[in-house]
Amino acid sequence: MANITELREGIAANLATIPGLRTAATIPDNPSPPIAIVQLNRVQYHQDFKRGMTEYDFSVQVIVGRVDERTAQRTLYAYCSSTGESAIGLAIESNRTLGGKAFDCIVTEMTNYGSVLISDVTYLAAEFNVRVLAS
Amino acid sequence: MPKQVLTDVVVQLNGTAISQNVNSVELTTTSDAIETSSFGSAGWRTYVGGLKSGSVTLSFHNDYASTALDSILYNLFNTVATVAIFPAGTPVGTSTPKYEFTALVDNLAPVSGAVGDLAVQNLTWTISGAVTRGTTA
Repeated sequence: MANITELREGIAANLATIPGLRTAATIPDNPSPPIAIVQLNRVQYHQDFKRGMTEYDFSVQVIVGRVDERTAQRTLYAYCSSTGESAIGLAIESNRTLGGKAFDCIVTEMTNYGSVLISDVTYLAAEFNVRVLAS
Repeated sequence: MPKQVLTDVVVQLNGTAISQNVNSVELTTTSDAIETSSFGSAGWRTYVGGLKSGSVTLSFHNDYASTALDSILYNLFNTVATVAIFPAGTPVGTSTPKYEFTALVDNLAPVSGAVGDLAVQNLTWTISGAVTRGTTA
């Protein structure tokens, strides 16, 4: 079975190819945007006999700045785009085996574009779902 | 186990274990129903068993790497291959039987899926000859 920490770190390493984007495993009390938080959502075991494959669903929440900043919205659009050096999907899929730890991975969708409240501050954020296939 | 969840099914193809690329297997056997109805059947149809046949349906998660599943299957196309299925895993025993037979690999689907889908092959092969159920190694 794959090491979940290594899978998460593999996603984070791919995200680190985006200039200026920080990554974290948990939501910081006072995030310093732009930051991507990689979290495990679901594990589906026994996708093949003899534990041949397990499916891991990660979410990547990208927080870009205070919700009322126009710059934050433009930055988030760039992260949500399907092309460009800031595209989250392209970055995560830039190394689809996550450094040899997974069979494959794919960014399936972006959801929950909008504001999030963290420590009484409202930020603009979006969430990306990442499907990882591993042993 | 009085009931059993299928998790450790072993599937071998010509002796090579391919279980870790298989997520579903179904082995079915049937026999022809030969009618023997007569005036003495009290108005009911009667039958005896005739020729037996079978098929095996396998759902594969494809792997295109060198010597991996896709190449194994492709090299077997239009040949008769030996298939062994161990529904309760190995080793074989009275509670962990093995079903063995040869099947004609008469269809493949090397590429199947839409964008974003897992690469799969869902195949049904016709069994050629007898299906044996073994309980000894």
